Amino acid sequence: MSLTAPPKDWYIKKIARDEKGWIIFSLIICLFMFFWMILWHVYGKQNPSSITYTTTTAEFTQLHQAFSDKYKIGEDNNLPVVMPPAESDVFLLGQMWSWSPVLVLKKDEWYTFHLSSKDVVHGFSVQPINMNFMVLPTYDYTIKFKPTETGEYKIVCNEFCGIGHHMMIGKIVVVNDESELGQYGITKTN
Amino acid sequence: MSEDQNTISNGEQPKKAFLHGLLDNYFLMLVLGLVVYALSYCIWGVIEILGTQPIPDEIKQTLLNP
Repeated sequence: MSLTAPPKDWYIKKIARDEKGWIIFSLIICLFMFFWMILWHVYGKQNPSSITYTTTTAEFTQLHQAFSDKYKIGEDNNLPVVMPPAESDVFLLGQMWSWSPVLVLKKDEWYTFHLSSKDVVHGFSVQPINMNFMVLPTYDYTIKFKPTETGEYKIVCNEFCGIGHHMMIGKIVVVNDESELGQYGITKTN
Repeated sequence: MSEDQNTISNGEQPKKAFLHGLLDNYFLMLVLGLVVYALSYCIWGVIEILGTQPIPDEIKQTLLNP
C-alpha cells in the first residue's frame, strides 16, 4: 500500500524480472515519444520554426508603412493591397481589429513574414490551413513561408482582443501570376 | 529475524545511499518536483527573453533607406 512506508531494505533488494521489464518498456516508450516529437516537428504539418526579434510598436509600424508604400498595387476595403517580390521580407501588422495589408503572394516562392501587433495580443491563424501564431506587441515574430497552393486565404485572430475580435479578418491571395488578380476582385492601380 | 534487517547487532543504522534517503523522503520529493520544474522553466524563459535580439539593421535598411 502506498500510504505505508516500504521495508527499510527496499533500496538494496534485487529488482524482480517483471518489474525490470516494465521499466525497460516505459523507458522505450519515453525515448520513442521524445524522438517522435522531433520527427513530427520536421515531417508533420506543424508550425514552422521561427525567430523572434524585439522591436517597438513605433518602429514596427514605420516598417509596416514603408513596406506597404513600397509594394502597394491597389486597395481593398480601405486597406492597401501589397504584392511583395519573392524572397522579400513581408511586414504584417495586427491591430484592433484588422490585419494590414492585404497580401498577394506568388505560389511556390519563399517569403519571410514579420508579424507584430500595434496594441494587444492577437493570434495569427491562416485558414483553412493549420498555422497558428501568437502575435505580441514589441516583438517581431519572423517565419519563413512558402505558399504551395493558389487561392484566397483568410487570416483570423484567435486571441480574444476586444469587442471587434470576430471582425478581425485579413486576407492573403496566392496566385501564379498577376493575370489572376481579377479572379480575386483585385484591381491593380499602382 | 524479527529485528529490522538493516539494524546491525550494536544498534547502529547502516549508512543509507543518498538516492535511498531521497526516495524515502516523500515531501522532499514533492518539493523538489515543484521547485526544479518551476525554476528550470522560469530560468529558461528569462534566458529566452534576455537573449532576444532587435530587428537586424539590414532588414530595416532595405525598407527605410532603399
